[in-house]
Amino acid sequence: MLKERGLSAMQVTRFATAVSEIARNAIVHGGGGQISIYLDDRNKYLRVECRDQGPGIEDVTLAMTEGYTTAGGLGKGLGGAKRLSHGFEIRSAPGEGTTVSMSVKL
Amino acid sequence: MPQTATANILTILETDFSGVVEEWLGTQVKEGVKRSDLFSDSESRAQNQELLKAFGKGVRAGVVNEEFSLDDDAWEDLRAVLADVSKERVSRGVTPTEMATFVLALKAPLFKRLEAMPGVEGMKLIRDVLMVTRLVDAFAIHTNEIFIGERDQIIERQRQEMLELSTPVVELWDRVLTLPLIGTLDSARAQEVMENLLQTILERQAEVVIMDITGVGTVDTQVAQHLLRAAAAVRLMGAECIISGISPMIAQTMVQLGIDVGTVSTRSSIRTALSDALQRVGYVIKKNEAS
Amino acid sequence: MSGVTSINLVENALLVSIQDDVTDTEILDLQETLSNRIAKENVKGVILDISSLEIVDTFVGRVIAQLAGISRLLAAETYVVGMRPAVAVTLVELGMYLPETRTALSLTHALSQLRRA
Repeated sequence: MLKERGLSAMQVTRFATAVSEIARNAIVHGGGGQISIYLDDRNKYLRVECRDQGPGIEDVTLAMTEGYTTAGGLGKGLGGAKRLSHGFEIRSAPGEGTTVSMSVKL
Repeated sequence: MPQTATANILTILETDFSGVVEEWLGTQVKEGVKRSDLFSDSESRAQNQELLKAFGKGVRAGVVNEEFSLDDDAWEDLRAVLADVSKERVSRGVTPTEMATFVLALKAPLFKRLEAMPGVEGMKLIRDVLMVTRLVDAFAIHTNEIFIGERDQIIERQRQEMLELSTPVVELWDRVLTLPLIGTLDSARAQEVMENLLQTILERQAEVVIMDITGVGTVDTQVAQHLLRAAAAVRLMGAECIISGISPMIAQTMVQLGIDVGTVSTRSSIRTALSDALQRVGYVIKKNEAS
Repeated sequence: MSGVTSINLVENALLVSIQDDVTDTEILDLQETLSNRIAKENVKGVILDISSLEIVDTFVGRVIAQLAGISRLLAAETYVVGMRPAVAVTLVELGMYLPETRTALSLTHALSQLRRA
């Protein structure tokens, strides 16, 4: 669908990888969650929101830090996903789950 | 017709159209924004007439209860004429300040005529002056927007052209590519260069890539980062990368900045890089002894 | 091991073609299957063909790096071949340079490098 809207293979792969990174986080840390996709034709972007009801993140800045991990991973996922999307927003609090919103310009 | 501010302004435009045009031109000369070096008198006059006519049309149909928005249909003519005039002026090198002052100069002749109008004095005069100011200011702001939009388009077009011109990937030999980098390497360009390079590696099944930075003015941490990332992506695809054109000056800077090139090969000139690259794909450059 | 990922012996190397629809479980199973076969068949190299993969995230990247580590301990070099340009750019962006794996443009390139080694 993204390719139909004139995105290059490069951009599609980048954004899809970012979404994969975040979805994996939601499964590993948040025990699964929901993904919603919003298409904004007026402002020409696509937004993917990934929401889980897991334990949440205590310190978002720390979690975004390169190499920081709690699950034995590489600690590159969050920061990497941010670099791979055009817009990136993360909302989380302990006990309230985590919502990550990523967008790509069309 | 009740004597609203709009009605008064319309009366002026209808009864003394050419007078206003002449005086508008006059104010432009006085304020030093009539570019007689760029436009002939008759050209300027024709432009002013057209603009004032479209402006009058807008005031007549587009102001309701003393309120208006230049985005409404009634102002379509003015927007169209403005677009033409602005385009013309941008291409001839008129500055945004000159363009805004040019429009704002319309206030003086209108003020003068309101002042002279029978029955317009005191609070009424203030009210009418305020209306003229609102109208002409909106006119000037819109002009500026068109003007800037026009410039943005030129800049964007040039940026695109530059981007395409400045990232050629050249096949030097069978399975050997070179990428001569020239100028500055910002994030957007680095991205473009990298995508272009990787795609060409795939298409030509190239085994060695020479990134030549002879034409890159300065190498700071940022630029070095871009180069090394491109080199890393080239390696991931299965080709080798040689960075050439590292001048003694750049070598010193890189060490002072603490840039570690890791396992990426570097050469001072494209000449040595080429001979190395050919060797890696199985060729040797040899002098013909007979000649 | 399901049919989506195949392992074939080519010359003295194991060729592993990872398919686009590979699941996380399958890719984790691959570590075990592959290490057993490297030891049993005494090969010199492992060639991972990832040309069908459109997305390689940090999880898959990490599994590839681990496969390379395991192979090396068992005296076989790992070559990653056929990585797409978009995947290469994305991995670099994610900070995954896969320094412990060797890379080649294609299976043919990897085999000729293995022959020379």
